[in-house]
Parts: sequence; structure tokens; C-alpha cells
Amino acid sequence: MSSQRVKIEGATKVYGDFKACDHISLDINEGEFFTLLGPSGCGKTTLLRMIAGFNPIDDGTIYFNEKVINHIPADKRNIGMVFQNYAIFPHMTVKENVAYGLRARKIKGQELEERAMEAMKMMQIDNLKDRMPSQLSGGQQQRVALARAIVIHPDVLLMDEPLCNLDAKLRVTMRTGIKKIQKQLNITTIYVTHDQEEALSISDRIAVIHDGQVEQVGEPKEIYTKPANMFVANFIGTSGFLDGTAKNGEVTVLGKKKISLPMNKDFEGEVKVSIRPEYVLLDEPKEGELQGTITLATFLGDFMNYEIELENHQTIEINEYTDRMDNVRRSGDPVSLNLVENRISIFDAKTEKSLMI
Amino acid sequence: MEKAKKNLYERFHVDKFDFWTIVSLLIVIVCLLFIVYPFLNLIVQSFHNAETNAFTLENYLKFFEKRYYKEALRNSLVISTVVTILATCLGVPLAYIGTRYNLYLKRVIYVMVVLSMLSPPFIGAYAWITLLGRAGFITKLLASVGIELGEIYGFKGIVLVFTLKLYPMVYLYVSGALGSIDASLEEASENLGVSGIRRILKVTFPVITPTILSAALMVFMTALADFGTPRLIGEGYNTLPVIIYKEFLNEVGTDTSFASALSVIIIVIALAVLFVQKRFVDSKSYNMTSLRPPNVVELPVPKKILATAVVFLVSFLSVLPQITVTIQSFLKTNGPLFVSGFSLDSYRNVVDKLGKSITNTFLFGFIALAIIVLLGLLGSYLIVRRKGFTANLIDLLLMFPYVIPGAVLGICLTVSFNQGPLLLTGSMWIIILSFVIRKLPYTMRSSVGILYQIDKSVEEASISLSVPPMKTFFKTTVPLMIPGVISGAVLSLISVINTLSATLILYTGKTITIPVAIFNCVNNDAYGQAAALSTILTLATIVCLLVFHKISGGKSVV
Repeated sequence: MSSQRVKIEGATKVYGDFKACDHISLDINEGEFFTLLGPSGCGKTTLLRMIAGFNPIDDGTIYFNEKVINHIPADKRNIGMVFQNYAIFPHMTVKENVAYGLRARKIKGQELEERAMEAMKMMQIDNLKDRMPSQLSGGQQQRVALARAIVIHPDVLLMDEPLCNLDAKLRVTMRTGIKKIQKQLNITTIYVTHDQEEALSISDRIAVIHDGQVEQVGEPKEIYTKPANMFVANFIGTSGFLDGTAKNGEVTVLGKKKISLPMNKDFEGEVKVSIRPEYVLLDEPKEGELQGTITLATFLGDFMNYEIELENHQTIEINEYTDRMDNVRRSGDPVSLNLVENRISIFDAKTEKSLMI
Repeated sequence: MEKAKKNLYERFHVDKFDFWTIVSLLIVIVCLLFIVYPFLNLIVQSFHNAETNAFTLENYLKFFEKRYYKEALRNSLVISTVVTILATCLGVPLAYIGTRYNLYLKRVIYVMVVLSMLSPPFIGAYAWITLLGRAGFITKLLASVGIELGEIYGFKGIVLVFTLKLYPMVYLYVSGALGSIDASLEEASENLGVSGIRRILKVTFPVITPTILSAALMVFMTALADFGTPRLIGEGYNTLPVIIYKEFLNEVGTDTSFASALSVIIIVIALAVLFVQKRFVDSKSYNMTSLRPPNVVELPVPKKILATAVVFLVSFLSVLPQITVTIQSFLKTNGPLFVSGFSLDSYRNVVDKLGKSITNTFLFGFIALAIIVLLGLLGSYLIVRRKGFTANLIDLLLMFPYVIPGAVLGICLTVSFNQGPLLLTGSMWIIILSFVIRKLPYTMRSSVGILYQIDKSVEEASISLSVPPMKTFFKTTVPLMIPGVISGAVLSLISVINTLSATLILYTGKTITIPVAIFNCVNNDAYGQAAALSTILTLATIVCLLVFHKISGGKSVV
């Protein structure tokens, strides 16, 4: 199967005054599972549809390998696309749906049968081949949509929030399935989602998109542990932001607690200290530490989630695993907060950009 | 240059010159030629002096100076208003009873209501004359036992015929709306202590007000535009359409310019009413998500019988003309009179003398149907999927025929296509054209509704699988739309085979249709043949309705 490298240079889409995509540049490797992640309205779907050929490209260039595809119509791009609502042809059986793209490619007879069957077997829908779409569950329709997209041996596979209409359990099963098949076929895949957990679990690399611009590109772990700016820190996982001041490579948090981190030593001034709920250890109130009062305690199974009001009246969220349930805390308890220093990110309060090295 | 070209494309929301660009251009040209041009022509004619060929206001001055014309205007407005009020007051409560209570004979009632709505009003007028007229069956029956019925002719008769003929529109529209209110809305009201009739007045009716107003508008427009009824039962109670016909088909000489001026006046009234209604509906429209339809209340037997009797009686009265003419069609006749004994003579006569009208009606109807389906498919696609300047223009142009009464349309087409390269007057094509123009907007509306339900990504999926846009349209969109579009078009077919007003102006001996033949028979006192033709028409309507139900899977006809 001929997989392709996708290169996007300064792709721009403008609706009136609104820049849906603002000079986006990305380089997606052959066979890579690449995710466009961002909140709704950030431009990720617009970009995907530009790659698919459904939205004209106002500015910039998109390449498949060395070939510029800007002016190739959607039906000539040889892409496979999986839509958010599956877009199964409701008037055709499962098999006719899968064979649709093959027929358009003038594939007939034995080869058509074999390839359709192979794709349906791969998606485990071969037993449903004579059903009409209305007789299928959401998960089954999803499989049909995927089989229909891969059977044509596309150069690039595009997926637009394919799992968002499924229930939570099925979503997890399907995403594992999608990842396995993608690796098996080694097909360059661009995947759009707003679900950060899905993106982290399924992708080789992720581009976080916000307001039509790329905020950060990286592997899931990198994006989670080393967010490039406050938006990414906040969007991926949960982060609390505390005020601080930086001087000589040292940060004073809330005018009280000093911490030193591998950060840009030249920076002096206001910073934001981002902490993850699971990287703060709670303790009895201690002099010289950050202190606060629990205002809400929520039991969430394997951990407790606390809302804590700090001395400056700011509220942050902290998680504590329930294996330490013997000292379960209640609303109203005073606590001190120990930050796990190598899990903290520091951002310039003005530019919101990371100051970490 | 490249930039300017791009801007131009963008302004018209066209990415490139493709299949759809050609289709939209063609449709725009067709609209301009067959809707805009005839209409502008009508306006020009109305300011035209036939002798001097000069611009003149005299046609309008004549209208507002003579009492005869002013009275017709007043009559038209009074009739339309009174009928709208009566039909609404009759239709809304009946619809409430019909949808919310478990009546006996629900299907029978539904069929009677639909049938009476679909038949041409003037058949009602002439059937009522044969029942309640001077020599009417019931009149004579009552006279024999010494009861004198008043005159049915004039204002009273028109109001009777129109009300019984038009309340079904209100009934069907409102039934649909009442059936789709979310039950929890009414339950919430009752839960808050507002129940019974107060709940109906405070929650149920306000919520369906837009539907009631739409139905009322339809009633008003139909009553305003109808020609046959006041012509037959009015006996001197002239309305605008009657005068338009008289002026246009005057035996001493056609006054096209004056008829045109009258046409413009009636269109202005229709537009004004449409405008007011739209303003009002827009301010009262609510978006509701209907999750659970309201419960149908099971009444105790005595009340159930009473409720059924009320609804049944009214719907029976409205279908009585059809029943009457069907019986009459099998009676022996002697000249204009029905005599005792049954025979098929009327049918024999009809087939011998007026067979042409039957074949014509179906030939024209089916050709119009094919054109309407094709244009409906293409046009709705442009409006929904290719939003932009041309799509909006098409959408707007297609609103036009809504407000043009049949008679006016007939005049528009006659004066516009009576010469030159597009000589259509006198041919069957001008009648088919009038059918298409009148009914295309309805099919277009319903097609647009259907297309909005079809997700655009189905087409994109097809395109991404390498099927080009035009082929995609025919392979995915058309198969998905066609059942809905055809079922809508079958309703249009019913409507066009029953249409009288426009055809009466456009027909020649060769292109006569059933409604025109019936009208002529009634005018010539050939009641037996009129009854036979009416029965054939009713039968055809029933067959079409069955086809409609088969295709649409039991959807409502409105």
C-alpha cells in the first residue's frame, strides 16, 4: 500500500473576517497516526476538509509527497475519509457501501469481491454484509464507514471525530481497533478529535490547535508533560495556575514558597505556575508551605478530588489516590500543599509561553 | 485579474464552473422567462392604452371610479375574511377533538376531509346548487312538506361552499401541529395548575399559532383567488376573479389592459396579506423539540359517540358534494333534469363527446409531474447545498406563484406567449406551463425540507470515494430524495388535474381538461355529464391519494 507523507505549508482558510485556519504548517510522516486536537471551532475540521478537498484552500499549499494537491478536486485525491456521523449510504447494503469506491475505480468481478470481503473481514462486519444500514448499531456503522474508507487503498486516511457518537465503553474498544488496523496497513492517518484522552491514547503525534493556529506539535507524552504554553497546559489534562515571580532561575509561588526548576534563568518577572491535580501532595498544615482549606471533597473511585481554597482565595483542584484512604479528608479541613517540583511547568504571565528548558 | 476573478466567484459562492453552475444558470433563465417576464409583462400591460399604445393610468382610474369594480373588490375582501374566520373557527376545534380523542371512524373522517379538500371548489358550488338551489333536491323535498328555504345564491352560498371546502386545510394543518407538540409541555402546564380549557388557550393554541396562521393564509388566498364558486353560485355577487374573467373573455372584445390592471390589484392584495401574515408568524414562531407525542384521551362511550358525531357530521357535509355528484352521475337524465331510474348514459355521453378532456388531463398532468420532479430535485439541491446569490434568487422567484391567482397566471401567460419565437398560446404546453408554475413552489419547498434531512457528508463520502459531484448527486442524493419528492409531486398532480382557473383562460377546444369540461357542462345545464366527469375526477384523485400513501408510507397530505 502506497502511503504518503503529507506536508502542509501555511494553509489558510478565511470566512469573512474570521480566520478558521491561520497559516498552519505541519509535516506528517509516512504511516504516521497524526491527530489534530483542539476545542470545537478551533479550525481542526476545517483543516481536515481542506486536505480532503471539501474546503477550498485560500492560501498556502498542501502536498501529498512531492505533489501539490491544492487544485485537485476531492474525487481525484485518493483519500479515505471517515465522517463524524459515518455518512453510510442508507439506501445500500453493507457490502454495496464497501464496494462503492471500488466500483468508482472500475474494479469488477473477482477482485471487487475479494477486496470488499477482505476489508469487511478486517473490520469484522463480513457477517453483516447483506444488512441495510438502518439495521446496524452505531458501532457497526462505524466499522462499515472504516471498511469503506480503507478498501480503496487510500494514500491518506482522514477521520473526523469518528468516535464521538459512540458510548464511552465502545469508544475505548474502537480506538484500540482503529489504531491496530492503522498500524497493520501502515497508512498515513490524520485524525480529528476534541477529546484529549482519545488523542493521547491513539496518536503517534498530536498537533494542538487553537483559534486557527498550531499551539504545539509533539508526541502525546511530550505534550502532556511539557506543554508549550498555558493553553496547552489547560486543554490537555487539568491544570491549576498559581501566581509567582521569577528571579535568578528561582520562582516564588504566591509570595511564599520558593522552588527552583530547570527554566530560563534570564527571565525575571511575573510567571504562572501550572500544577497538575495529581502532582500535589497534601499534608497537615505546616509553616512556610502553601496552605489552604478543602471546600469540596468528591469521591471518584480510584481517587478523591478536592477543591481547595488557597490563602489568596484562589480555588484549585487536587487529586489524592484512595490507596491512602485512611486519612480521607473532609470539607473544611485545613491542609498544606507540597508541589512535586519536577512535574511543574512555568509560564511567562504575559506571553503565556513556557519558560521551561 | 486572477484576484478579481476569484472575488467574482466568491461573491456568487461558486468555486468553479461545474455542472451545478450550468444547472443554476438554466434554472434562473427558466424562472426569468416563465415567471418574471410574464409578470412584468402584466404590469406593463396594466399601464397600457390599447388604442394609442401609450403609457396610461386610466385602467386603474377606471377601477377606482366605478362603483361596480369597487364593490367587487369589497366583496372579495369580505368573502375572504369571513371565510377565513369561519374555516379557522371550524377547523381548529375539530382538529383538537380529532387528534386528542380516540374517536370512532377516524380513518373514514380523515378520508372525507382530504377528499373534500382536494376537489375543486366549483364542484362544491354546483353540487350545492343541485341540492339547495331553486330546483334543488332538498329545496323541493322541504317545499313538499311546506318548509321554505331561503335563497342559497349570492353571499350566503359562496360562504357556505368556501367554508366547507376550505376548513379541511385548517383541520389537516392544525392536526399535524397538535400531533407533534411535545407532551411534556402540556403536562408541565397542568403540573403548574393550569389545566383543561385554560391550558388549551394558554399553552396549546399559542404554541401552534404559526400553524393556524399559515393555514388561515392558505384559506384566505384560495378564497380570494377562486373564480368558479362565485361565478356559479354568486349570481351577480361579483368578486375580483369573476370580473377579471368577464373583462378578459368579454364577448364584445377583450380588454387585456384592464384585466391586467385588475390582476395587478389582486396580486397587491395577496402580497399585502402574505406580508402581514409573515411578520406576525415570524414574531410568534417557536423552536420545539418534540420528544413524545401527546396522549390520545380515551373518552367514555357516550362522550365518544357525541364527539365522533360532531366531527363526522361536519366532514360529511364537506364531502356531500362529491357524494351527490357521484349519485347523480348514475341517474337518467332528460336534458338538464335528472329523472328517476339509473343509467350509464352520462358516462357514455362524456366518453363520446368529452373523452378528449380526460386523456388531456392525465397527459398534461403527467408531463407537468415529470418536469416538476426534475426541477424540484435540481432546484432544491441548489437552494440547500449551493447557498449563494443564485440560490437565493431562485428561492425568491419561486415564492411568486404562491400569490398569483390562477386566473391572473392564465392572463400573464396568454399575453406573454401569444407571439414571436415563444408562441405557446393555444398549445398544450401553455397549460402544462401553468401547472408547473403553480405547483413547482410546493414541490420545491417539500424537496428542500427533505434535503435538509439528508446529511451533506453522505455526498462527501461518495466524492471522497472518487465519484465526481454530478454522478454523486444521481447515485446518492437522488435515490434518497426521490420517494419524498415524488410523493410531494403526486399531491401536486392531484391539484393540477383539479385546477380550473388558469386552464379556463388558456384552453382551446383541443386542449380542454376535465375541470373546464365540467364547468362548461354546468354552464350549459348538462348536469349529468358534469356529474360523470366529476366522479371520474374524484376517482382519479382517490387513486393518486392511494399512490401517495403507498410511496410516502402514510404521511399527512399537508
